[in-house]
Amino acid sequence: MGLIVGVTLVSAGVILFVMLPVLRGDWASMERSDDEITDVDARKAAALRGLRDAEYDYRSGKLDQADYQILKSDLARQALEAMQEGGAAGDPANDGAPAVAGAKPAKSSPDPVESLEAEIARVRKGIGQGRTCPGCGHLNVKKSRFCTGCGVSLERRMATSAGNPESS
Amino acid sequence: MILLGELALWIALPIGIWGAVAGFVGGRKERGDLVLSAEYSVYAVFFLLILTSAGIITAFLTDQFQYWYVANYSNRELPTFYKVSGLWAGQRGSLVLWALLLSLFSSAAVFTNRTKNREFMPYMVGVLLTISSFFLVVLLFADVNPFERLPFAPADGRGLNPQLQNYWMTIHPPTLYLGFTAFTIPFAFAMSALLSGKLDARWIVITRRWILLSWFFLANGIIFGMRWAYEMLGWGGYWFWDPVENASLLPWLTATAFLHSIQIQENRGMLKVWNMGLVTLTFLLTIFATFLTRSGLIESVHTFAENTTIAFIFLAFMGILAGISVLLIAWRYPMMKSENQIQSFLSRESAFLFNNLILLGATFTILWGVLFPLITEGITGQAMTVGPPFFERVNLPIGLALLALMGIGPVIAWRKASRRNLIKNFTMPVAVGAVVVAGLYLRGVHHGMALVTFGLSAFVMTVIIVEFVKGTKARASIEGEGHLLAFFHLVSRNRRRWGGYIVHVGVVMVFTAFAGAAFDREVVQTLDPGETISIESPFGHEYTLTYQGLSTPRGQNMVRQAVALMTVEKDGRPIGSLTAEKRLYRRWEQSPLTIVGIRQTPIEDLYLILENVNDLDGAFENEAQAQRATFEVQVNVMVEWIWYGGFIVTLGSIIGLWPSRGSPTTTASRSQTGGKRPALAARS
Repeated sequence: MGLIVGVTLVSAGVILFVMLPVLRGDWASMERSDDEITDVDARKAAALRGLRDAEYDYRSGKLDQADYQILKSDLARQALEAMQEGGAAGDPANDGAPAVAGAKPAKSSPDPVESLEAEIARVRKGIGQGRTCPGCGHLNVKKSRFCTGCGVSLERRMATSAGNPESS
Repeated sequence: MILLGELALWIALPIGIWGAVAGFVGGRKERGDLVLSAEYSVYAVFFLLILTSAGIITAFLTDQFQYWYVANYSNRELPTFYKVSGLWAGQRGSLVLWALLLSLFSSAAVFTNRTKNREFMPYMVGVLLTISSFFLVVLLFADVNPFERLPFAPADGRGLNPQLQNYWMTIHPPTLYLGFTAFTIPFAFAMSALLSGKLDARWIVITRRWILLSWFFLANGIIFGMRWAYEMLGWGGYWFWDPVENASLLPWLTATAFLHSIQIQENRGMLKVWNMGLVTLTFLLTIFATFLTRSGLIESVHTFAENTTIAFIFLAFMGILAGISVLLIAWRYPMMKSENQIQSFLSRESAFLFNNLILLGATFTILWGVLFPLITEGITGQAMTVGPPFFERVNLPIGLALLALMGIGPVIAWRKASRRNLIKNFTMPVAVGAVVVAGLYLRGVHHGMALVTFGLSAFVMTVIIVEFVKGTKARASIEGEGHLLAFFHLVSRNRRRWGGYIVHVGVVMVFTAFAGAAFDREVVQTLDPGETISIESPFGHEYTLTYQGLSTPRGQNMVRQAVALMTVEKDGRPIGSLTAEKRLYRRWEQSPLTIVGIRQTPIEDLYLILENVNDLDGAFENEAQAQRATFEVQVNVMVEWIWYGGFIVTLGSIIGLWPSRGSPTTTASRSQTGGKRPALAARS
């Protein structure tokens, strides 16, 4: 008798528990919440991680300076694109300017996120200084005569883009 | 309790099916109530399977021999510890354990994602409950119900196979099953990503820790099994390329490949289809390993099978899952195009890709060896098996190539490495490897494959040490920290990378131990009490063992026990004693169990086997003339390094699994664990 009561109680309890949301009309969310990672976040994180690894690889002698510069500019561009995309998605926190604009690569910063953010800021500043190829967007080493991204003459490109401001 | 457990199993099936349907329909129709009900079903199935498992364990503990499963895997005198482990001693209980662990992980996944990653949850829960329901259907309808009653209640049970009465055997199967079932979570997320079309890198970020957790359990489960074989099978080895051993290795190999290839997808947006294929293949191999162990389809030293019907049910299930997965991947193929290409042959992506190809090569050659008896039986009508020589010949070069890649990968930069840097970075590790090889050769080690393995191990170890030194220096220089603090931060801020290197150290130790086996020695001799047996170690010293005679105590659940005592001297100096045994367990009298004596040191084990007692019955009666016995003494070189390596692998895995703070690598996983949004993401 006790067993029958126990089994009935367990069965009824379990069924009631499972059906409760349907009976009460409780809804589970199926949307991404605001504080979750987005695809843009994931791409940005990958680019930032790549930047950090590249710096580490460069300092530990796995990358030449020239390769490091190329890699860094590519990754920085990816991160910037992701940041701009994120901003375009309507995040008011991003006004298009880096949060720590002008900061150095955070030599004494304990937080690598901030350090990398500062790195992005530096790269963005570099773009503002005109070291980026106006043709392909590649960030070149200072005083480069040719773009290491697409190979065109930077001097000629700069001159062309200066004549046509919209092209840059 | 037992009846409640049985009824809980019956209630779990409709709840599981309801939850699976509610998950899929809720996801499709965007019905949040159905999705919530599906999630509650996951918890309910877990609760019901706890009741089922408790019912089975109660039946074992209270000697309910009217149940077929208890009668066949227990007896009255079986120690309580092994009665509890009776849950996974046979096919029926193992299937319950599989379902229980799956529902445990499913509940953990649903609970940790109750406020995030919600887009994935409906289909993810649907997939999990479909798999759970499959196991419940098998348990209830495939003639493997653990609560099946006999027409009469025997006075006592058949007892547990003596080989399973060992503590390693009590933890080895559950650990492997934890690994198998944990991998269902990444598979379910992957299927959910395919069904919902959310195929960016998020499903990988969400499941990364689950993959590592599964890998961690699989690695430990395999090592526990090796330890069990070394202690219990009494032949001095730890791996026999047995089908069941191989079956547990297969998902570990593909999971290892997956752990590496997801890094390419995360960092470069490449290999999306490949990764989807790997997660599916790994999951299917976990099911394959489960059914192979418990189906009896292929003869094995530890296939605890009783019913081969379920082999075909499992094969059909695997076929359906594989078919659906392939169709889904084909359907979503246009959304999984690679965002980048490999820029250079000399890049880490390239090394990872080679690593993947080699691991998959190993997987398919081992799978071929495992299935060979079935294939030949299907074609010729007679099963032909392939033994250890085949597996060793094929896997030796594969293993060495993997070992070499473990050293090459970390030295190459992502995207593109210059030849000049490669030469610069490889010089020291290659030199150390060469010096080790030359030094060992000059000291008389002339075994070619062992020399190559030792040389490659030294090369990889040097690479890893240099990585840690350079990393610490780079960190100290970038952050202006002291070297100790820089080292700590280096590891703690990028646990996955540095934890991975620590895992590599453990794997190198295991490889070194494998190579050490080339120098094992053994001597077989028949002795009377007072006589000695000598064996020379490859390290130059000599062991002398003096046979002191047999004693016949009687342990719990045993009919008889004959214990041979040997005193041991090393180069004439007494260093202790060893015992080796023959045991006759109750109800298993026809197959005496050999218990070995092991004297363990970091460089070699002295391993004593009591091969044969000339007159076992006389010995049991303590007859003086019946003491003559045959012994095998082995010196097994560097075996301990396998267990040390296993410990290091565990340590590295825990570091990799530990939640990180403040690192950009965990930008995603922070939100996964419910923390605050990272500063960078908030600002973007």
